[in-house]
Amino acid sequence: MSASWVESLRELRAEYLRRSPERLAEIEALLARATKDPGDPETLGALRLKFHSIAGTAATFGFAGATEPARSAEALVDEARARREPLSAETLGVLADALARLRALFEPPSGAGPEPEAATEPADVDRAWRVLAVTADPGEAAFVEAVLESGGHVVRVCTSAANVEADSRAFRPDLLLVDSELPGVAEHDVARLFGVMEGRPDFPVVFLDVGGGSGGPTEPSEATRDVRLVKPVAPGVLLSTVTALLERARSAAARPGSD
Amino acid sequence: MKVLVIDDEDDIRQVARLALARVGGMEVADTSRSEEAVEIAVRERPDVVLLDVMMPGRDGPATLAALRADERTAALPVVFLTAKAMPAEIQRLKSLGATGVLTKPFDPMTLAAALRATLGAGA
Repeated sequence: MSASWVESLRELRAEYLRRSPERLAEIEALLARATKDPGDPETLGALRLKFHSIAGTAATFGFAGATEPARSAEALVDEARARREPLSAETLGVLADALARLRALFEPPSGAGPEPEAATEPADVDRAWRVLAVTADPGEAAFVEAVLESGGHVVRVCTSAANVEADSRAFRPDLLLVDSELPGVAEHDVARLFGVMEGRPDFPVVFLDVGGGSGGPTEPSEATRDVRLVKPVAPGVLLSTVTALLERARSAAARPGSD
Repeated sequence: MKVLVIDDEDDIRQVARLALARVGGMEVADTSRSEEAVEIAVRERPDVVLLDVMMPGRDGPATLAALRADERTAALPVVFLTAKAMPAEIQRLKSLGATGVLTKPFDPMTLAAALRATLGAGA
């Protein structure tokens, strides 16, 4: 994977994101029309196409969280069209909820914004999860940033194992993503350094390995919560793995008695 | 290998071009004008058509029928690209005469490999 390819994908993703408010506004307008005339076939057909479009495209650009609400909404409109029935008030409510979920994803509140320039400001990151990506590969760094930021995470890249401690003190990450090929320090030394420093040996760590595996994530180690992904990692796998680990870590931290 | 991508969505055509050309090393032509698919296919001479299913105007199945009805494009491999990944829908699309079916959303890193695998399986 070349850095220029990653950069091109990132530009397409940014363009997709820029156009998202327009897409959502079109859905909102169609929902308003459907509320007034819930059986209008033209409105229902257009509404179905709009949700269908997001269901089929969003994850390709890294917005995997949009697929399920968009697909569910499309199915609801499809059902009504197949039965030649108007949308019920309940269905319209569900569609409005789906739109709200999409809006939260594409137009997140401050702190979860996908633009790295804004999201990396400490004052804006209270609601976002922070991932410290430790890799010396610029192409890999750009890929990881593009994928994880599309999911609302804030990413900082650390290009040297020697800087992990300083970067993590300044950035306060919730998860460490480590390139197994990182030169200089063995991978487990990096993770251990971080765990000892934070006093959290169970701190979530994802290793990006080179070949030789199934490609999917391994189960987290009981002792360390390490997960290994084999490169090249699909964007959806990377995002879902990191998000699941972060959610698990936060849930554990929120439980009474957890430290 | 040259691929003709027919999809009404600009975003999908752009990312498919990136995925097939830059990652997959394929030559790519694309169009949103499914009504002109036959003429464009004759002009571009692709090895395979990657065809969206749900499009305004002439949809994927109707476009496939048009390609099959013209002797110049009748034998051209056509792979559907669909956001409806249910087995019954995939079977329906294959029964229309498609060489294969790929699903959306797709992974840009693996689209070219998936297309090659589909063509290999359909050969």
